[in-house]
Amino acid sequence: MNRAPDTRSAVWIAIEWLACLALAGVLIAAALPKISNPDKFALAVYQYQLLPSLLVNPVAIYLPWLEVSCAAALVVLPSARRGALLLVAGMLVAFTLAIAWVVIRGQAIPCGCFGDDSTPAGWWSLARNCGLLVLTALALRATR
Amino acid sequence: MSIFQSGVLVVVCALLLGTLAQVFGPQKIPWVEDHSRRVELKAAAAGIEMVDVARAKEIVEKGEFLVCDARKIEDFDAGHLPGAVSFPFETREEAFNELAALFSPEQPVMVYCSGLDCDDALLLAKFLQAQGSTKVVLFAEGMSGWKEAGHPLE
Repeated sequence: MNRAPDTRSAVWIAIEWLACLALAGVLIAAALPKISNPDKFALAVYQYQLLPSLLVNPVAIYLPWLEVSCAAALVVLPSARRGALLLVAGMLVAFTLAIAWVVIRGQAIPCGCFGDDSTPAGWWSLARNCGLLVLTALALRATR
Repeated sequence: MSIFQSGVLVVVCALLLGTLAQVFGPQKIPWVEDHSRRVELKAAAAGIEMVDVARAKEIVEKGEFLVCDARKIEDFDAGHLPGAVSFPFETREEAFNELAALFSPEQPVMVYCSGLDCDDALLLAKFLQAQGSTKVVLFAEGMSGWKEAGHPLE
């Protein structure tokens, strides 16, 4: 079935592509270190103390690949873009709440956001996630 | 493709890729792991002796062991076990070169980090074993265990 012609302005199309490319870049940058060192990422997930021990490793195994799949859909599969953007938004909301919980409890643990343990989960990670959420909302608004 | 269909497609791809990576990839982790005993189990598997708070206190008081703090230098500067030296795992090669004069294969060493949630001390213990140290013990409860016991910091 043919899609309806794209009647959006060039500005919105450009915003859609730029936002999706930026989000895909961030998702890939976040996923690769986790994939290359799942053991370290599993420890980071465990340190949040939000999941039962049983779920820590499955999350560490599949979450980076969800990030990769979302990034791929955003760039190479425009027809799946809205679904991928909703998943990205869902992940970002979950991550933001987890980091906020850590900040409220005053825990000093690594963010684990980009697989490394040098950045602590704190205000900076919260602000970055909020920025990414705004970008995701913008991409959703721009995407047909 | 509807939002629901595309979302399901992305999730199915992620499940497939994750499973393939876990089964065939070079970096595998157990599907399920008891993280509350993570350090303990890994130390046992590596043949590294663990010490509790009481024994750690005895070691610190007697001064026979070289006590190494595997945390970052900022954390070390904020407070550490009396007599400990900073040996951040992150910069282990550099730290080992700096502290080389203190090490010999026979020199007993105790390593620790922030507590049971960190594995830098375990990794440092393995690193020191690889450098030739034959008597490395791990104080897994680390700083949090030490502080909870009410022992003094330096």
